[in-house]
Amino acid sequence: MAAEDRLKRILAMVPWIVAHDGPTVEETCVRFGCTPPELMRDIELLYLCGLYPYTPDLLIEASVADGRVYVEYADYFSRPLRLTPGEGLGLVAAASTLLAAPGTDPNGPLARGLAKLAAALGGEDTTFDGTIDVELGATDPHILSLLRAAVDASTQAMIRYYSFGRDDVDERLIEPVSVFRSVGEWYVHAWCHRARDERTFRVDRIETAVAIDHRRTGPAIVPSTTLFVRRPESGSVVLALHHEARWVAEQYPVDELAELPDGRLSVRLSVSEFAWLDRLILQLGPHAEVLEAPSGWPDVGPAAARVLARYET
Amino acid sequence: MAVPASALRPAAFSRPWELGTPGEEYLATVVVDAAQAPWAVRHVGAAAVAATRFDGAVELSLTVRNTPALLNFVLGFLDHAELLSPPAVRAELVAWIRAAALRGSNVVPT
Repeated sequence: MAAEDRLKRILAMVPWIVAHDGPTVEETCVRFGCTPPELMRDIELLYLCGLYPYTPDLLIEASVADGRVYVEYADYFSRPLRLTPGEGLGLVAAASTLLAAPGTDPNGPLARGLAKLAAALGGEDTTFDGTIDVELGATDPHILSLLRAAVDASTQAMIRYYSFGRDDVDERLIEPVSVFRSVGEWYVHAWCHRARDERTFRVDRIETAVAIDHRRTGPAIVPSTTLFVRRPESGSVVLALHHEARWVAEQYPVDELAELPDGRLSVRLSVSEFAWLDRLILQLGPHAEVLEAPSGWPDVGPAAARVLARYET
Repeated sequence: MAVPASALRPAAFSRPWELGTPGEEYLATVVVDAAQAPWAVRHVGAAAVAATRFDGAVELSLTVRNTPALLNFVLGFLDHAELLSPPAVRAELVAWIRAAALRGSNVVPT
C-alpha cells in the first residue's frame, strides 16, 4: 500500500476508534480493509505521533489490549483551535478528501467537525465571503485567457511548447477542449494535430500561444483531467530503489511493485519519453538501479555525458 | 477575502532542499538556461534570483539544508542547469551523475 493511502486510512481510523471506545481488532480491520498485522503497524506508528517536545501529554496514546483497539487523544486536541481562514480552508479540503477514505463514518466525528468548520468559514466568520483568489504563478494570464477563449469558441491555437518528457521545444496546432487546474498547475486538454491524438499540456510550459480563427477540424474528444495516460507505444522500465528513492513509487503511477530480498523496492513504470527516464535516473543517482530497460533506450550514458560536459569545462 | 495559494501549499513542498537541520545551511548558486528560467524562478521564487545574464539565463542563490534534494532539483533540468558553488557540492554532484550512469547502464532491454 502506498504511504498516501496508508496515511488516509490512519487519519480516517483514529476518530472512528475513539468514537467507538475500544472496537475489536477484527471489526476495525473489516471496516478499514486491513489485516491485523497492518493494523498493529498503524498503531505502532500512531503512538509516535504528537507535538514537540514529545512529552507524554503531547503524544497520542494508542494500544491493543484483549483484542480491542484503544486510542486516546493527546491533551492538545482539547485546546480550541485558532485557525486563519487559509488554514481553515485547507483543513476543509483535506478533511473532505478523508471522508472519501474507505471505512470513514459519513456521520461520524470527522464529518461533524468538517460541517462545523465549513459553516464557520462560510457563515459566522465575517471575513470570508466564499471566494478564493488563485495564484497563477508563472502562468501567463494572456495565454490562459486565449486558451479559454478557444475552448468557448471551439477554435484552434498555435502553441510553442516545451515538452518536459522529451526535453524539446516545438510548435503545435491544438484544439483546446478544457482548461483545468490540478496539483497546483494549470493544464489544457486538447486535440493535437501534430500528435494526431489528444494531449494534455501544462500551461506554464507554453512559451507562446496564438489564436487561430479556424473552427475545430479534429475529432470530438471528451474533456479530461487525467494527467498521465498510458499509450500503446509506451515501454516500461524496472527500477530497484533504495530507501532514499522510494518516493518514486509515491510520485509516479506504478505498474508493478515488489519488495526485493535485499531490502530494495522493485517498481515497473511506464515510459513514453526517454528524456523523462534520463532525468529520473540522473535524479536518483546512486539510489536506484535499472533492472530492465525499455526497448530502444540507449541507457542513461549519453544524457549523463551531456550534463557532465557542463562540469568539465 | 482572498486566500493565497501559499496558505494551502506550504513553500517547503516546492523547495525540499530547505528542509533539514537548522544551523547547517549553506548557500548554493545554480545557473539555469534562459529557456528554463521562467519555470525555475517560479519554483524557487523571484527572491532567489541573484542575477540575470545577458542571454536570459538566471543565477539562483538557494539556501540549502538537504543536499540530495538540491541535486535532484538541479538534475531535473538535465544539461540546462549547472551547480556553480559550493565547490564541494559541485564535486558531489559530478560523483552522483557518474553513479547514476554506472547503475543505468548494462541493463537488459525488455
